[in-house]
Amino acid sequence: MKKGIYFLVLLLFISTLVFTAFSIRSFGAPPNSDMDNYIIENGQEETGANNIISGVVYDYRGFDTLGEVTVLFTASIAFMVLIRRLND
Amino acid sequence: MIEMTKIVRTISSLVYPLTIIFGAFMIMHGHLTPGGGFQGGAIIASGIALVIVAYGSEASKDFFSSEKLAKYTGIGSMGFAVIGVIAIALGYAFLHNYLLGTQLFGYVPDGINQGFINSAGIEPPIEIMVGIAVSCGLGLIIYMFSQLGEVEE
Amino acid sequence: MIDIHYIAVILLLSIGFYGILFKRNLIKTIIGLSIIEYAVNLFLITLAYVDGGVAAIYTLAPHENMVFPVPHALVLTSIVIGLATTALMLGLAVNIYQKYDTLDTQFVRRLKE
Repeated sequence: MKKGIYFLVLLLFISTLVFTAFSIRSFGAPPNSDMDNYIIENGQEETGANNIISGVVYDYRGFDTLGEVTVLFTASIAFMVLIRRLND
Repeated sequence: MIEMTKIVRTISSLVYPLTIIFGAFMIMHGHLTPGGGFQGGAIIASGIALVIVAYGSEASKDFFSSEKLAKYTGIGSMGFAVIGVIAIALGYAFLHNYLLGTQLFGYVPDGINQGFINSAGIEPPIEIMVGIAVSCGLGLIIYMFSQLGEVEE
Repeated sequence: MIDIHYIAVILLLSIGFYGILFKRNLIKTIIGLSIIEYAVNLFLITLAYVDGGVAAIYTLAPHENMVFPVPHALVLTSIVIGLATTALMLGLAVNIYQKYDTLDTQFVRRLKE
């Protein structure tokens, strides 16, 4: 019974993905490119970095990266606490 | 985890400093070539994993300790925040690129070039801080996995 | 017509959801979650591609037709956070194994004791 419901859910999910994939745009032809074209054209003079991806990660989205480092710090400290409590 | 044979230990102690140097190169050239703080930090953490796998969990206590790794993870993420707060002290918004146009890391290249290490403003300092945080954070995770089930003093 | 890249994404997502829905072992559930994460990363990377584009790095680039940088930056963020959360999930799985002597989610029922 439970397995049948799970199978139905999985089938529904896969069919949704397949129907979406038919209407999605083809590979290598993006429809909306305003933001990315602006960043490619002006990113070098605005951030000074040759690596545009590095410019996006550390300059345009620097606050996001700060949160990411915080998540990494919290996860590693929590992992250390978990394993230490286990070893005692 | 027990230690491996003498061949593996010798080769890993030869390769370990080269791995650290390659990771540092990756971190320092993050604004010019593919790479950056996260990738270089992951490479340094793979060097830590190499030492732990080759020497075993008992002997790797002489190389690393969880307190030091956790401390440097905190120092890296705090350094990132401090670099951002300095911008507020100078009168800009948080994490503003205040080094752009100055003598230190201030060069702004134009178009396709061969790469200048003194460009990109506050990105290289941030990348160094992120590299410290990521290498020690991932190293802490790998080290604690190796200490699993063994009593740490 | 579906591109082969989207077929790969659909396959990976299906495998991951199968692992989450049908497997009772906690380690296999975590593997399923990781596979879903990598499928999403692959989907974002395929969205970023432009025909004939090179990586968005100006150092000695062949030409100035470049792929989109923002999805690459998002995936770079996602990979590191995924690594940290996977390690945290594995640590919790080890704790559950120590407490219950099993990884079967059917027998992990007592939330408090």
